[in-house]
Amino acid sequence: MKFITFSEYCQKIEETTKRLEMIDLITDLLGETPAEEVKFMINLLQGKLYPDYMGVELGLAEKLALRAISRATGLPQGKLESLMVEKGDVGFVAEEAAKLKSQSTLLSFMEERSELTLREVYEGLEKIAKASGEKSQDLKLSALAGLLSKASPLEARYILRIVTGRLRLGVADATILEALAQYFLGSREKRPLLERAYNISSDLGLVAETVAIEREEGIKKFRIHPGVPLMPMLAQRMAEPDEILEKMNGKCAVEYKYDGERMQVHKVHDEVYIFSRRLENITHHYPDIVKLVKGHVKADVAIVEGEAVAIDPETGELRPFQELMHRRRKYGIKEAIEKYPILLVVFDCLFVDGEDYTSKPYIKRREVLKNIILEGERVKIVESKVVMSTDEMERFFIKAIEDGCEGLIAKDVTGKSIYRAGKREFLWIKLKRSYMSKMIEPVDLVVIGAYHGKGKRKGTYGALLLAAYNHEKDVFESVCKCGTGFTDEDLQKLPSMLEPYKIEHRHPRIETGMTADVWFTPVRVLEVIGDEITLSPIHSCGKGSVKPDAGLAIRFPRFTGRYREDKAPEQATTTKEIVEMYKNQLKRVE
Amino acid sequence: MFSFMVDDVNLLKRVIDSLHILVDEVSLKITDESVSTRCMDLSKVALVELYMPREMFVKYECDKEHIVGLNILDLKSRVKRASANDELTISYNDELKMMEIIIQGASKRIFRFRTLTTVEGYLERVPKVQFTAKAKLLSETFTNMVLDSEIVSEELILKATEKKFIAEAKGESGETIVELEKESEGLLELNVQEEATSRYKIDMLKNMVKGAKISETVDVYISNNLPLKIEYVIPGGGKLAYYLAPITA
Repeated sequence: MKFITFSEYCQKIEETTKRLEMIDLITDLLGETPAEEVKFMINLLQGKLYPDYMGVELGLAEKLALRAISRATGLPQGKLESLMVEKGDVGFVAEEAAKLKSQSTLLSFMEERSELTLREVYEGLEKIAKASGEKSQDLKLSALAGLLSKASPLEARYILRIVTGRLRLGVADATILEALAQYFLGSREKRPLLERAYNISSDLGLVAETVAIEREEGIKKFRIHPGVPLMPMLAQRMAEPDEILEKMNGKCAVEYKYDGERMQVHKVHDEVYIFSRRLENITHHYPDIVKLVKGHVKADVAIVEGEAVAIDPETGELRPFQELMHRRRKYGIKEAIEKYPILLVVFDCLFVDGEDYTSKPYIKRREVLKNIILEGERVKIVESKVVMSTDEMERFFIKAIEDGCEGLIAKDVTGKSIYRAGKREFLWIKLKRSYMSKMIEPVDLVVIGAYHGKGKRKGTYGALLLAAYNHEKDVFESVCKCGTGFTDEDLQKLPSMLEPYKIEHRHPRIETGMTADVWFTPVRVLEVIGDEITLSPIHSCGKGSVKPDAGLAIRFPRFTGRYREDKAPEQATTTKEIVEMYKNQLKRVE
Repeated sequence: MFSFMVDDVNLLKRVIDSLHILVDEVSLKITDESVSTRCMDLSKVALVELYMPREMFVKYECDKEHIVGLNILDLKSRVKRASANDELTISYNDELKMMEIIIQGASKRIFRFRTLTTVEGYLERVPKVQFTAKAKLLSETFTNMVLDSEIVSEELILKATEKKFIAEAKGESGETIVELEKESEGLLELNVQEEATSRYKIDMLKNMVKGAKISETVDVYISNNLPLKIEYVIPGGGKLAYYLAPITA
């Protein structure tokens, strides 16, 4: 297929404003494309060479692109830069430059001039995308100049847009699927068939090639291939528990919705692949997860989904989302693994040892998940519960928030609750918080209990249980468990510092739903700040003053480093003050 | 099977560099008479041609015509390991189907590596150009013509008249003119059948004049608005030539 034909269709597609017209244009374009080139054509139409999960990105820097145009056309760099300012689009610059072209090629003196083919452009772009190492810039430059030296002005426009990653014809996946259905299966109504193939392969080029060569039979043969990601199933969103229960016919499962990075993890014998929500291959960022998966997924071949969250290794508590993002780095991965350890919370399983579980209902999948996952300190199966009342759901919700989660995902538990790859339907509904109360100033809290440390903190305390003072009742009400912000020096002296206050049982002036490894007489005061104040089903601070049955807790608390030895426990921040803080800062989210 | 031993390791290093400035992969043609290559850069604007007759080598064996594709970096990285006094042999091991570089010095070192299968074949032809002017210059003089022009522009004009060989460059910051007359020390010969003027990009030309390290003199061939050819003689009877397509108005 000639590249000029492809370019002319691109131009028409770009000019149309009607979706149906776009489908017709793509259908006509398919008619001009030989079956064995359909894959390349469809990929180029989307401005790429391979499906996204392969991680080969086109995105040549504008500066290098202009140098290639200069090399191919003989126009000086300066002239091209001013054209760039004028046109604002590197495609138009290339097109204009090709019209003004002055650099000839040796080919014109060898009588070997020929027209560009789609294959040739695709292969040239492949060379550019894959060039690496010492001379990669030069290689990219000459490969692009090579294509341009043969290109007509219109071809130059699209080559440049594709190579810089800016084709943007606005052709959606669904539009292409519809055109494929129309041309190869005779009717746009058959799109769902292709859609299914696409959702389990994430490879539109492959779907197109298969339907072009093997038609419907080939498409029906599409199967999950461990190592190749599926489009993730997505959740609808609702604001209120009662709405959700109504939609779910009065019964559903609720799971913690962690504020981390969603991952699709493929274990294929000894290999592990990790894909992001957008199906990028992110395996190299997470060698620790690769190791965890090898040790904790008992199946030989499996695809599971989970959420990676940053945790405090000593206390096992979650850390905020921003800390996890430190893991998305190119260099210093080893250091980051130590500094920001991860907990993998798995919540679904799609494929196990040759069997496709996406067509099995939720309850079955969860059962299989329990069979193949060996839970441990760093790998857990998501906290889940079947609920039948809004009260139950709400309590679980409050607990999820306090535990550092974003909210809940409610899941259908009926027989129709299959895994719908690539779909956003009401089988899954997320419930996020609609209000949040930011914490803007530190508070002084009383040490009432402690937890033994693990790992590096063995021999000292891993976290302290802290309380605010309830002036009216003259008791200390727990408000958080805090294990962050302590220096090594702090940790070392904690046991001896607290030794004098150690008691055998909970002090009568302490009120809390928490249990502790060690209890103290409330004496010592520390300064603490957190991210926000949330409702809590366990902590007793201000219980009942905002919502019946719920107290308040500090989320992501950390010690500021200040021991308030000047303060008596009765001078600590009061329960009343914390309730005020909560109310004053309460704002709607999003 | 073929095998040839190089006399001057440093010269070989320079020859490899002179290919590397244009291409990353080459098809080497080895016959009973010579080792040669001819290939274009990816942008098809330039071409390099290398010819080394068997007389250039200390020992030379070749059973039939071979064409082998090589990644230049593969070759370069190994040849680089040899020092000036070493004996260096390049050969093809038929049994193992691998290239072999043997460096014989204080020890015998054998480097084996694979050839490429996907390199475009050896170019059979060069551009058809009737050159109307030829100038023989000191390599250094020609290099300076290019570098002087680069100060003001990205391109230069080469002109040959009956009496003069000239490089001109014009840019926003001014202009540069380098004139060589028949009496000039840097111009050794000038042979003009027809006056010629042609324009070229400096960035490519600048790479090509690095060949000056191989030879004291260079032959520059031009015609009106046609590709140029510059040719360096390699000591021992070989030659290295570049072609460069012109910029047309």
